[in-house]
Amino acid sequence: MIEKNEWPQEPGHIAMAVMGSGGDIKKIWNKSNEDEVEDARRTFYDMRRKGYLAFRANKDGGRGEQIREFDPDAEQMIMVPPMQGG
Amino acid sequence: MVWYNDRPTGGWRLFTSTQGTSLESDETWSRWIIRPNNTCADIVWPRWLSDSATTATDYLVDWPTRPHIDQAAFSRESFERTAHAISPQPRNPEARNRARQILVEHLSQAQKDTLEKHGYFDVEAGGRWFRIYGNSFQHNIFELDANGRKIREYCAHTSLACPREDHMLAQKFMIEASFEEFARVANIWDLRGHRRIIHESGREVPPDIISPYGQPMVSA
Repeated sequence: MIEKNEWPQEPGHIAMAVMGSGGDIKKIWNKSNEDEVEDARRTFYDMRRKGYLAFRANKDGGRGEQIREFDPDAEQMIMVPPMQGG
Repeated sequence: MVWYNDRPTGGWRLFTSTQGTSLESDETWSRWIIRPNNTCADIVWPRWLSDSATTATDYLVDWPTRPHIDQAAFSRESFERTAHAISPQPRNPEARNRARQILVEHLSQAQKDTLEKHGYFDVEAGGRWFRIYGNSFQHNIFELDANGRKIREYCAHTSLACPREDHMLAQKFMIEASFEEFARVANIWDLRGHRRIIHESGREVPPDIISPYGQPMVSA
């Protein structure tokens, strides 16, 4: 799995954007590569354990859909840090 | 109606309203503070002091849309300068740019238009409408009634110092997909009449906040 600032352009590559204090980082993996998929799955659940929320949404105004299980076929996932009252 | 000081013509003693009325008096400030029934003290200062600030909240939050400011002349630069004073952003401009890009990617055209023109966009969830402002990452979400008036103020944001646009996207997703969870973590104020807090973060959410019409919220 590699980290970039942009969404992947290569076909078959999937990314999760992880929000953070320095802006989001895209963690990208090749869904045909089992090792990378497993790495992504581990990262997903590690972040979930830290309280991150995972959302999947279509572009152009698509409603956010919260996902609680790793979806290896989701084209884009966005990991949101835990929310708190302000 | 908003009162402002017309210093060039009258000094501190002259106050002019956006409705064209004016008041010149040595007692102006004391009237604003101690005589809330006085028409010139109708809006800003007593409410700011008493924290019953429907109008004061509007005054603070609707910064780009104050009636006596020509919106066309209110530059984006001024808006960002004000917004930065309210919620300082990461110094890395690339982080802001990425956050802006990912936010805009997940907005409809109507949402993009209002964000660009007015600094906010509206989100619908379960038949209810929420307005998310971009000038701050906190105290920036308002529930609207059927007439577009603000009836509740919500404050919930990510726990990290993310770029403001990341907060906004997270708020949008939470409201759309997990409103019950969002309402549980948010601090919530009722803006009808006196502004008063009606829910504190982490506590059980009153049923009327989650489902005011007796119907469950739509959730993913």
